[in-house]
Amino acid sequence: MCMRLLNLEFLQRAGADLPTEIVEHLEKTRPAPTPPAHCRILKGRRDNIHDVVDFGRACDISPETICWELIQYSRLSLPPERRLPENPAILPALLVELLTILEILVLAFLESGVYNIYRARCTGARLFRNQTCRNDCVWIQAGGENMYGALRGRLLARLISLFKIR
Amino acid sequence: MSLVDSGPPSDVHSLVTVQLRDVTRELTVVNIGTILGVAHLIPETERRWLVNSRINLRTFNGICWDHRGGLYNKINSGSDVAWMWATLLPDGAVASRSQLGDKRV
Repeated sequence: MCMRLLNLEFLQRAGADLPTEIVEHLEKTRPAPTPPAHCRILKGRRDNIHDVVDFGRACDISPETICWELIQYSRLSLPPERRLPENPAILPALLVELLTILEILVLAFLESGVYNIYRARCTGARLFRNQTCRNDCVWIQAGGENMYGALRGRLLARLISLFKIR
Repeated sequence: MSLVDSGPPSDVHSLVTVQLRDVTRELTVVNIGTILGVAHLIPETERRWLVNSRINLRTFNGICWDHRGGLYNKINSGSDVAWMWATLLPDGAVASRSQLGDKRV
């Protein structure tokens, strides 16, 4: 379901009987006190995807649709200095990296400094472990807390693809 | 996906229902920073799901989800939804498999 990222304080509070050498090692190698609040890690890079056209082919979506959606996203969500080029000759040729796993660190319920690592997977049209394709459902913060009734600004969506544009 | 009736929890099981949008763009691009976590949806029909915000997945897989179809079909049959959730959810209490079996009889 998910992995849990525990810190030394949590283990000691839970009464874990850790050997002295392990505690010393953990003390020495302790990273930053807490991970960033909204840490996201993309993994599972797919090869043979070079540009927006390849990306559309891999996801079975027309390049025109993808370009149009990218332009909409760029206009509505990106600051002016980071907007994508809207030139139809340039946009389809932008470098794209397609990935299949998004790791999300979520603060554990009633804990501080303990994070659960959730893995949202999206294989697109490809099979997952030789069975059906897997495109997980995720929560998205789509608006303020007064929107969408009891969901308080969150909406549900199915991941179709995870990508980076370079 | 869109909310059914603008998103109030159901009077029966206190869960929100979502459905596939009828008129929809093929896809929407979002920043991955807006993705908050993985969601668990319980199928109600082919186009509608209950948003599980009450039972953890271990409980759900162990008690509610019967891969042979029995109990899972009960959940989907509509009239049993209230009984099912009332059995599992009051004050966080969870009925054991045997208790559920007894009540089903």
